[in-house]
Amino acid sequence: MTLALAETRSRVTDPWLRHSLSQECTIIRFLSMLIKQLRWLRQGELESFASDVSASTEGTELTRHDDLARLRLLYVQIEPKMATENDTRVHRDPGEELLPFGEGIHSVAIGLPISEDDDLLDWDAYIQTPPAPSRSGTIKVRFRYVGRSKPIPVNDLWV
Amino acid sequence: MEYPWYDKVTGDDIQQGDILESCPVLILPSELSFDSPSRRSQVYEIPFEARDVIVMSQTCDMVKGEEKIPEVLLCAVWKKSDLVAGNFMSTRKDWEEVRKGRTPGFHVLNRCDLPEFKRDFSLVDFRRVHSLPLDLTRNIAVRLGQRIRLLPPYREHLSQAFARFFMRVGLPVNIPPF
Repeated sequence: MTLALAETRSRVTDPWLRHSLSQECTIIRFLSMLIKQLRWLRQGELESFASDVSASTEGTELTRHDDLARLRLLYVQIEPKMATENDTRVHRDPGEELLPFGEGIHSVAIGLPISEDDDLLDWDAYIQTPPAPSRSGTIKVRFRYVGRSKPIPVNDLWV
Repeated sequence: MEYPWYDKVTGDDIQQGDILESCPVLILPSELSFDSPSRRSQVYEIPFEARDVIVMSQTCDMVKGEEKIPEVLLCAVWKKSDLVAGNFMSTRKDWEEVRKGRTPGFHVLNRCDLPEFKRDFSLVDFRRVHSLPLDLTRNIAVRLGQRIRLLPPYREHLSQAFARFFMRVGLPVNIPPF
């Protein structure tokens, strides 16, 4: 069984369409947990998820265009397994409660599109008006023309 | 093992990463012209400002007695408190973007906790560059007395960020997203 989990950051500003902040936090928290556990699986530190399903293979992160939006998807091969038999995690604080896997899937399955600009660098950002200087003034100068500048003679650049 | 960001230095030894506070920089007016002899003899009023700047030139080019450059390249450094609300870099999100390297025109410097030099986070502005004669830069450094110096590897990190910004290439026609 392949499950597609969509990352949920969104630029939708319409409050009727957008996830609530708590919903987005829940989804992001779940995805973070999932990715962390997949990493442990690869490193051999974890045999399976402590959940009502467990991962049998590695997850793959892909970005896909469809007709409606550009989605970043995390594909995970899963197979049903009983939670009580699989809780073999080695990195877990006592008392820590993981998000129930089923709830996570439900939340993630309604993920929203992300902007294409998320991965781009902002080359154009600049400070239009610099901060006021601590001290400023003017100096009166008369320029004296001394001809074109000459390069510094260098015998050996590497010395 | 500790890797401090800054050290206090004195004297006229200039190195990459030296921060010169209130360094005078000239803002040459756009009407300045040397086209005609009459213009050349004209007296101009040239504005100057005191700016905090950081040395970007390579240390090995400024070794005393073995100088390989006559002028030092400097970049403006803005204090976090100087960047007022409503402008770019006035929000925590802006600073976080720069810290992550997503805004290549800028570079964040850590706060400084050295005694007598407690400074908040600051921002190096790669779009505001100045140059001063090396001898004058040495004199300014001496007159400052103690000053702070960005230490390795943070200064190389800064230098790399500047290089990355300077060598940017914008494509007129980009490849569309896959």
